[in-house]
Amino acid sequence: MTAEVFTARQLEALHDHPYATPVIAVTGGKGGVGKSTVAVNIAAALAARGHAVALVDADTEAPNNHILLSLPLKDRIDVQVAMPLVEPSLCTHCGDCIAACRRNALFLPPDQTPILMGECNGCKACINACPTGALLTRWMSVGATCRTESGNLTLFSGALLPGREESTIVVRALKDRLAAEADRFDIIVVDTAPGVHCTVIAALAGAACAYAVTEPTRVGMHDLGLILDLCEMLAIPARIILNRSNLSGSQATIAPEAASKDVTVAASIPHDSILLQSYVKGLPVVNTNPDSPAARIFTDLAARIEREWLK
Amino acid sequence: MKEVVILSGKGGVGKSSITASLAELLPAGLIITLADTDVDAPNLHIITGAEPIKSAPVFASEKAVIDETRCIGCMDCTAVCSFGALLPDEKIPVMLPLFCEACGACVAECPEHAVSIKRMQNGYLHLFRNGVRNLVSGELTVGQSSSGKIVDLVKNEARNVAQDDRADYLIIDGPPGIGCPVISSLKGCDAVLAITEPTAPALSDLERLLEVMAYFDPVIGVIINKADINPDGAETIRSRMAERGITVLGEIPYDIHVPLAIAQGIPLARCYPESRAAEALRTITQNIQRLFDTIQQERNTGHEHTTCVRQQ
Amino acid sequence: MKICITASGHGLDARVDERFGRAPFFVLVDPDTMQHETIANPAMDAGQGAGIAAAQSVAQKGVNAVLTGFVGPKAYAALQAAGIAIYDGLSAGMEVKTAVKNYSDGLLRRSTGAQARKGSPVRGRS
Repeated sequence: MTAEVFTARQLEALHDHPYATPVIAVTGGKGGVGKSTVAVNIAAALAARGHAVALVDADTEAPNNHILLSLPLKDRIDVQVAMPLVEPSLCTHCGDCIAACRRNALFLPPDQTPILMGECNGCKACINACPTGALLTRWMSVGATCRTESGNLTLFSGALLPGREESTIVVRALKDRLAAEADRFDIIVVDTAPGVHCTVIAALAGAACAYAVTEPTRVGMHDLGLILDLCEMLAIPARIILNRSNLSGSQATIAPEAASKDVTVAASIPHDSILLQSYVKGLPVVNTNPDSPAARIFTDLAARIEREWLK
Repeated sequence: MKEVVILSGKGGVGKSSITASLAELLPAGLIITLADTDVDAPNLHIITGAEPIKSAPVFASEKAVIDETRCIGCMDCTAVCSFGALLPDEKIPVMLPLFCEACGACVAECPEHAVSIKRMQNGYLHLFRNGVRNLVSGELTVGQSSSGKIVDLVKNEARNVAQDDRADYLIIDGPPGIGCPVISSLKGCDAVLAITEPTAPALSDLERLLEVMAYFDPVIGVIINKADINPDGAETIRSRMAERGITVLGEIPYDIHVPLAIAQGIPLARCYPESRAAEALRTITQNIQRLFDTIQQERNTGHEHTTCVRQQ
Repeated sequence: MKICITASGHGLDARVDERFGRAPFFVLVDPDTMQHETIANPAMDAGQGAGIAAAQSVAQKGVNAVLTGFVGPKAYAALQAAGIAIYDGLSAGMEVKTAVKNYSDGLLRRSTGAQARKGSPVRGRS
């Protein structure tokens, strides 16, 4: 049995969010193509044009936006999941909790109370199943979100605690934190993780459009196809940003891919040592070298985004 | 048979192309089986120019499913879902399988037994062949969940194939990040080759990866790719790894031949053997073999391996 | 006294299966009388926590010691919590009855936990 693709009802529920501020996602199936560089520069360019910008670093396994902006991570709030805590005086050793846990995370030694030994994901099935209320809730941290203001730009950053697996839960907590004040901002830019898995989908949820960053290589084209398929499945209009456009191959390679999916190339950024140096320095090129070729492309892209979403 | 995983933390630093070149440069007499556990975006078969041999669907995802004929619309299930996968609606709850963890809390709660956990197809297992080498690859179908479970299946199959091959090495091209698919890739491995770049983001991601790896305690070697784009950054990596007692196996200069080789679907070491990157990879391969010899020594003496990855 | 040997088949003539969490069968033996019973391992196909589920079924059967190839870290902790002794290092291919005899003759050593701490199975010499 294959799960259905998203139904209209599911898409409506997925994209539903309690604010009107437009959301632009920056994504791209392949890692290392320059997603974060693009996201950070678009956000910085929009901020430089006077807009209140929220930049959301939803790559919770490998968050980098704060490094590319040379910003500290402030206002840390833990992301927590519920874990069972045994109250021995109420435990009747019935074993219902063991049976309820589909992850086999609980162990009941003979004549003792249950011990949490395995991987608990906070579902509370055991807590719900306990007939005597002997399982209480304790909260365990699986990651954190941070919020740093810098002029017009506010960075919301999420990080998974190394060793945990709940990256999607951290993304959702990050978006919830943003949602609480989203109406303050003129525009929201979300930087997703590479790939097409649940964490990426959670980051893409609610986006009005997605910029799929890629490079003109065979592997880049292969992975671009995957992210474009995902955006189509999620009913999110996508455009392509071709990074390192002069690397190998040419625009000719990308045209068939773009045409077959009816997607335009919004920008082509040639490989550029000034851009690379700004990346190494940890500052957006639109701020350090606004007249450089790459900076001009980002500024132009920001102007077009402004026309489309902010006027 | 030694099991080696290639990881990085940060995406796009060169895991797949280094994996392909490593397989080419290890001594010809060694039998090598390859695996690709970057199931979101598997690339190793493209980079090695491998031929597809066979594919099979995998059913590695479990999701709660509502039987609409039994549902009475009480919405009790939506109150117990800890993951936001069940949302109240007019007649029947909206189910977002994407967020469902198949924990069964909704199954237990439903007064009409209208909810059950069903196994779903979420991708494919592929076998490719590259000359004499087998390559086991996995693929997550776009929009599906549980990539980590597909990784488990890829590794099981890869270990079987490696046994049949009588392989000396099972070399696994791993996924980016540090989450579930990376953890599944790490389980049971003997050694990790951690690829990085001399930039602050790559180093940050590498250090997060090292924290995850500490639990598994494999033999670790670090390779600095595109080392000359930022010599200061490369120095920072070398000194940080020295502090932790982790071997840096070598550095590879930025080399235009690398993307050219990828474009042709031929491993660099085969199509541009004289290039600077290939030279660097040859040295690195020799260092890797020395590192692997330590795995064998430890097995022979029954000595438990420790690294200095854990914080002092 | 009841000991448990992880096996790929039924009874005393079955071959040892090295993996505690994923072995298809557990052969439960009284080493003094050689009375035995074989149960299926409910954790064999478990998506997660196979080791803990295997430990649970073994603990429920009143087992005092487990004889196997290797035990993962979580199963190790669970068996310890239940006070069940662990003898690891058995090779696949050995017959269950030979493993029992080795146990009774005092030839088997208690697990040091090193393998469990490493969290990965010992691979055969290559």
